[in-house]
Amino acid sequence: MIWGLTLKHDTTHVYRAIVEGICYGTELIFRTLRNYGFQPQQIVACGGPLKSQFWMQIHADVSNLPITFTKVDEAAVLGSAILAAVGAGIYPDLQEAARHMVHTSHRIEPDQQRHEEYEFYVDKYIATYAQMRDLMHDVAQHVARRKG
Amino acid sequence: MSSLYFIGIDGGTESLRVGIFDQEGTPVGFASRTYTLKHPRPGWAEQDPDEWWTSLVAAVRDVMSKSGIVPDEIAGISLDCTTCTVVALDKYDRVLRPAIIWMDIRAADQARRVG
Repeated sequence: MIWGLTLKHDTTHVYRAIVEGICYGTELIFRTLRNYGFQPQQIVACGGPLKSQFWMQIHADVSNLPITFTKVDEAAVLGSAILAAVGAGIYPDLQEAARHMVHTSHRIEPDQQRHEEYEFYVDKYIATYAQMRDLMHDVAQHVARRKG
Repeated sequence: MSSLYFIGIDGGTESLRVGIFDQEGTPVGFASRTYTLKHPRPGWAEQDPDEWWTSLVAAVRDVMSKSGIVPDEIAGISLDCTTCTVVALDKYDRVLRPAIIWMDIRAADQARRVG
Protein backbone atom coordinates (compact mmCIF):
# COMPACT_ATOMS: atom_id res chain seq x y z
CA MET A 1 0.00 0.00 0.00
CA ILE A 2 1.38 3.42 -1.01
CA TRP A 3 -0.03 6.58 0.52
CA GLY A 4 0.91 10.25 0.65
CA LEU A 5 1.21 10.65 -3.13
CA THR A 6 0.93 14.19 -4.50
CA LEU A 7 1.22 15.71 -7.97
CA LYS A 8 5.00 16.12 -7.60
CA HIS A 9 5.59 12.37 -7.34
CA ASP A 10 6.57 10.31 -10.39
CA THR A 11 7.48 6.68 -11.08
CA THR A 12 10.90 7.00 -9.41
CA HIS A 13 9.25 7.98 -6.11
CA VAL A 14 6.90 4.99 -6.38
CA TYR A 15 9.88 2.70 -7.06
CA ARG A 16 11.71 4.05 -4.04
CA ALA A 17 8.54 3.66 -1.93
CA ILE A 18 8.32 -0.03 -2.87
CA VAL A 19 11.98 -0.60 -1.97
CA GLU A 20 11.65 1.33 1.30
CA GLY A 21 8.45 -0.56 2.13
CA ILE A 22 10.33 -3.87 1.92
CA CYS A 23 13.09 -2.48 4.14
CA TYR A 24 10.51 -1.19 6.65
CA GLY A 25 8.96 -4.67 6.75
CA THR A 26 12.38 -6.14 7.60
CA GLU A 27 12.91 -3.46 10.24
CA LEU A 28 9.58 -4.42 11.81
CA ILE A 29 10.98 -7.96 12.23
CA PHE A 30 14.17 -6.53 13.80
CA ARG A 31 12.11 -4.36 16.16
CA THR A 32 10.12 -7.43 17.20
CA LEU A 33 13.38 -9.30 17.86
CA ARG A 34 14.73 -6.37 19.90
CA ASN A 35 11.51 -6.28 21.94
CA TYR A 36 12.15 -9.91 22.85
CA GLY A 37 15.70 -9.12 23.96
CA PHE A 38 17.62 -10.15 20.84
CA GLN A 39 20.10 -7.61 19.48
CA PRO A 40 20.94 -8.29 15.82
CA GLN A 41 24.54 -7.23 15.10
CA GLN A 42 24.68 -7.62 11.35
CA ILE A 43 22.69 -8.75 8.33
CA VAL A 44 24.05 -11.41 5.99
CA ALA A 45 22.39 -10.90 2.61
CA CYS A 46 21.89 -13.37 -0.20
CA GLY A 47 19.70 -13.85 -3.24
CA GLY A 48 18.71 -11.65 -6.17
CA PRO A 49 18.14 -8.35 -4.29
CA LEU A 50 21.81 -7.99 -3.41
CA LYS A 51 22.49 -7.13 -7.05
CA SER A 52 21.02 -3.73 -6.13
CA GLN A 53 23.49 -1.79 -3.95
CA PHE A 54 20.84 0.96 -3.76
CA TRP A 55 18.33 -1.40 -2.17
CA MET A 56 20.89 -2.96 0.20
CA GLN A 57 22.11 0.46 1.38
CA ILE A 58 18.51 1.40 2.28
CA HIS A 59 18.22 -1.86 4.27
CA ALA A 60 21.43 -0.97 6.15
CA ASP A 61 20.28 2.61 6.79
CA VAL A 62 16.73 1.74 7.88
CA SER A 63 17.88 -0.97 10.31
CA ASN A 64 21.17 0.70 11.31
CA LEU A 65 23.05 -2.56 10.75
CA PRO A 66 26.02 -3.46 8.53
CA ILE A 67 25.32 -5.94 5.74
CA THR A 68 27.77 -8.69 4.79
CA PHE A 69 27.46 -10.26 1.35
CA THR A 70 28.24 -13.83 0.45
CA LYS A 71 30.15 -14.70 -2.74
CA VAL A 72 27.42 -17.12 -3.83
CA ASP A 73 24.15 -15.23 -4.07
CA GLU A 74 22.17 -18.46 -4.58
CA ALA A 75 22.51 -19.10 -0.85
CA ALA A 76 19.58 -21.50 -0.48
CA VAL A 77 21.08 -23.77 -3.13
CA LEU A 78 24.51 -23.57 -1.47
CA GLY A 79 22.91 -24.31 1.91
CA SER A 80 21.31 -27.38 0.43
CA ALA A 81 24.68 -28.50 -1.01
CA ILE A 82 26.27 -27.97 2.44
CA LEU A 83 23.72 -30.40 3.88
CA ALA A 84 24.62 -32.83 1.10
CA ALA A 85 28.33 -32.54 1.99
CA VAL A 86 27.61 -33.29 5.67
CA GLY A 87 25.23 -36.10 4.71
CA ALA A 88 27.94 -37.63 2.52
CA GLY A 89 30.36 -37.55 5.47
CA ILE A 90 32.81 -35.05 3.94
CA TYR A 91 32.46 -32.76 6.96
CA PRO A 92 31.57 -33.84 10.50
CA ASP A 93 28.93 -31.16 11.09
CA LEU A 94 27.21 -28.14 9.54
CA GLN A 95 29.45 -25.58 11.28
CA GLU A 96 32.59 -27.18 9.89
CA ALA A 97 31.02 -27.50 6.43
CA ALA A 98 29.91 -23.85 6.46
CA ARG A 99 33.43 -22.72 7.47
CA HIS A 100 34.77 -24.37 4.33
CA MET A 101 31.94 -23.71 1.90
CA VAL A 102 30.62 -20.21 2.72
CA HIS A 103 32.75 -17.24 1.67
CA THR A 104 31.96 -13.56 2.13
CA SER A 105 32.81 -10.88 -0.40
CA HIS A 106 32.27 -7.42 1.13
CA ARG A 107 30.33 -5.39 3.67
CA ILE A 108 28.42 -2.11 3.66
CA GLU A 109 27.89 0.18 6.65
CA PRO A 110 24.74 2.05 7.70
CA ASP A 111 24.57 5.86 7.54
CA GLN A 112 23.65 7.10 11.02
CA GLN A 113 21.98 10.33 9.87
CA ARG A 114 19.79 8.61 7.29
CA HIS A 115 18.88 6.00 9.90
CA GLU A 116 17.55 8.70 12.22
CA GLU A 117 15.51 10.21 9.37
CA TYR A 118 14.01 6.82 8.56
CA GLU A 119 12.79 6.12 12.10
CA PHE A 120 9.80 8.47 11.73
CA TYR A 121 8.73 6.72 8.52
CA VAL A 122 9.15 3.23 9.97
CA ASP A 123 6.74 4.25 12.77
CA LYS A 124 4.20 5.37 10.14
CA TYR A 125 4.69 2.15 8.17
CA ILE A 126 3.99 0.05 11.27
CA ALA A 127 0.92 2.14 12.16
CA THR A 128 -0.52 1.81 8.64
CA TYR A 129 -1.66 -1.80 8.84
CA ALA A 130 -3.38 -1.34 12.22
CA GLN A 131 -5.25 1.69 10.81
CA MET A 132 -6.20 -0.03 7.55
CA ARG A 133 -6.85 -3.54 8.81
CA ASP A 134 -10.67 -3.40 9.04
CA LEU A 135 -11.06 -1.72 5.64
CA MET A 136 -8.71 -4.24 4.01
CA HIS A 137 -10.63 -7.18 5.46
CA ASP A 138 -13.96 -5.68 4.34
CA VAL A 139 -12.70 -5.47 0.76
CA ALA A 140 -11.16 -8.98 0.82
CA GLN A 141 -14.42 -10.48 2.09
CA HIS A 142 -16.46 -8.49 -0.44
CA VAL A 143 -14.33 -9.78 -3.33
CA ALA A 144 -14.44 -13.36 -1.96
CA ARG A 145 -18.25 -13.23 -1.74
CA ARG A 146 -18.63 -11.94 -5.31
CA LYS A 147 -16.45 -14.75 -6.64
CA GLY A 148 -18.55 -17.15 -4.54
CA MET B 1 42.95 -36.63 -7.48
CA SER B 2 39.44 -35.90 -8.69
CA SER B 3 37.26 -33.47 -6.75
CA LEU B 4 34.00 -34.29 -5.11
CA TYR B 5 30.89 -32.34 -5.98
CA PHE B 6 27.52 -31.78 -4.33
CA ILE B 7 24.15 -30.94 -5.81
CA GLY B 8 21.96 -28.54 -3.86
CA ILE B 9 18.31 -28.28 -4.89
CA ASP B 10 16.02 -25.52 -3.62
CA GLY B 11 12.34 -25.91 -4.43
CA GLY B 12 10.99 -22.41 -3.87
CA THR B 13 7.57 -20.88 -4.35
CA GLU B 14 8.04 -19.68 -7.90
CA SER B 15 10.92 -21.78 -9.18
CA LEU B 16 13.22 -24.67 -8.54
CA ARG B 17 16.95 -23.93 -8.52
CA VAL B 18 19.82 -26.37 -8.71
CA GLY B 19 23.51 -25.74 -8.11
CA ILE B 20 26.64 -27.89 -8.18
CA PHE B 21 29.47 -27.01 -5.78
CA ASP B 22 32.83 -28.50 -4.91
CA GLN B 23 33.79 -29.19 -1.29
CA GLU B 24 35.16 -25.67 -0.86
CA GLY B 25 31.79 -24.24 -1.86
CA THR B 26 32.96 -23.08 -5.29
CA PRO B 27 29.98 -22.99 -7.67
CA VAL B 28 30.37 -25.08 -10.81
CA GLY B 29 27.00 -24.46 -12.41
CA PHE B 30 23.41 -23.40 -11.85
CA ALA B 31 20.09 -24.14 -13.54
CA SER B 32 16.49 -23.32 -12.72
CA ARG B 33 12.93 -23.87 -13.89
CA THR B 34 9.90 -21.78 -13.00
CA TYR B 35 6.50 -23.26 -12.30
CA THR B 36 2.97 -21.93 -12.27
CA LEU B 37 1.35 -20.46 -9.17
CA LYS B 38 -2.43 -20.26 -9.39
CA HIS B 39 -4.78 -18.11 -7.29
CA PRO B 40 -8.27 -19.48 -8.09
CA ARG B 41 -9.79 -17.20 -5.44
CA PRO B 42 -8.48 -14.39 -3.22
CA GLY B 43 -6.28 -15.96 -0.53
CA TRP B 44 -5.98 -19.27 -2.35
CA ALA B 45 -2.65 -20.48 -3.75
CA GLU B 46 -2.22 -23.76 -5.60
CA GLN B 47 0.42 -25.60 -7.64
CA ASP B 48 0.55 -28.75 -9.72
CA PRO B 49 2.93 -31.24 -7.99
CA ASP B 50 3.72 -32.89 -11.34
CA GLU B 51 5.22 -29.58 -12.40
CA TRP B 52 7.62 -29.69 -9.42
CA TRP B 53 8.88 -33.07 -10.60
CA THR B 54 9.28 -32.16 -14.27
CA SER B 55 11.06 -28.94 -13.20
CA LEU B 56 13.41 -30.89 -10.94
CA VAL B 57 14.29 -33.44 -13.61
CA ALA B 58 14.83 -30.76 -16.27
CA ALA B 59 16.93 -28.48 -14.04
CA VAL B 60 19.17 -31.30 -12.74
CA ARG B 61 19.81 -32.61 -16.27
CA ASP B 62 20.46 -29.06 -17.43
CA VAL B 63 23.05 -28.29 -14.74
CA MET B 64 24.76 -31.66 -15.19
CA SER B 65 25.18 -31.17 -18.93
CA LYS B 66 26.33 -27.53 -18.51
CA SER B 67 28.92 -28.42 -15.85
CA GLY B 68 30.47 -31.37 -17.70
CA ILE B 69 30.64 -33.30 -14.42
CA VAL B 70 29.94 -37.02 -14.59
CA PRO B 71 27.45 -38.55 -12.14
CA ASP B 72 30.21 -40.58 -10.40
CA GLU B 73 31.80 -37.33 -9.20
CA ILE B 74 28.61 -36.30 -7.32
CA ALA B 75 29.14 -37.32 -3.68
CA GLY B 76 25.84 -36.06 -2.32
CA ILE B 77 22.48 -34.54 -3.21
CA SER B 78 20.24 -32.51 -0.92
CA LEU B 79 16.80 -31.08 -1.55
CA ASP B 80 14.86 -28.47 0.36
CA CYS B 81 11.43 -27.06 -0.36
CA THR B 82 8.71 -24.85 1.06
CA THR B 83 7.01 -25.97 4.23
CA CYS B 84 3.32 -26.20 5.19
CA THR B 85 2.33 -27.27 1.68
CA VAL B 86 -0.31 -30.00 1.46
CA VAL B 87 -0.48 -32.61 -1.32
CA ALA B 88 -3.51 -34.94 -1.23
CA LEU B 89 -2.69 -38.46 -2.49
CA ASP B 90 -4.71 -41.62 -3.05
CA LYS B 91 -3.51 -45.01 -1.82
CA TYR B 92 -1.38 -45.41 -4.95
CA ASP B 93 0.38 -42.07 -4.22
CA ARG B 94 -1.38 -40.42 -7.13
CA VAL B 95 -2.04 -36.70 -6.78
CA LEU B 96 -5.76 -36.06 -6.21
CA ARG B 97 -5.92 -32.28 -6.58
CA PRO B 98 -3.60 -29.29 -6.95
CA ALA B 99 -1.33 -28.82 -3.92
CA ILE B 100 -2.46 -26.18 -1.41
CA ILE B 101 0.73 -24.25 -0.82
CA TRP B 102 2.06 -22.49 2.28
CA MET B 103 0.71 -19.03 1.40
CA ASP B 104 -2.90 -20.23 1.01
CA ILE B 105 -5.11 -18.75 3.76
CA ARG B 106 -8.46 -20.40 2.97
CA ALA B 107 -8.42 -22.20 6.34
CA ALA B 108 -8.09 -19.01 8.42
CA ASP B 109 -11.49 -19.59 10.11
CA GLN B 110 -10.69 -23.22 10.95
CA ALA B 111 -7.27 -22.19 12.30
CA ARG B 112 -8.96 -19.64 14.55
CA ARG B 113 -11.40 -22.28 15.85
CA VAL B 114 -8.55 -24.69 16.59
CA GLY B 115 -6.97 -21.80 18.49
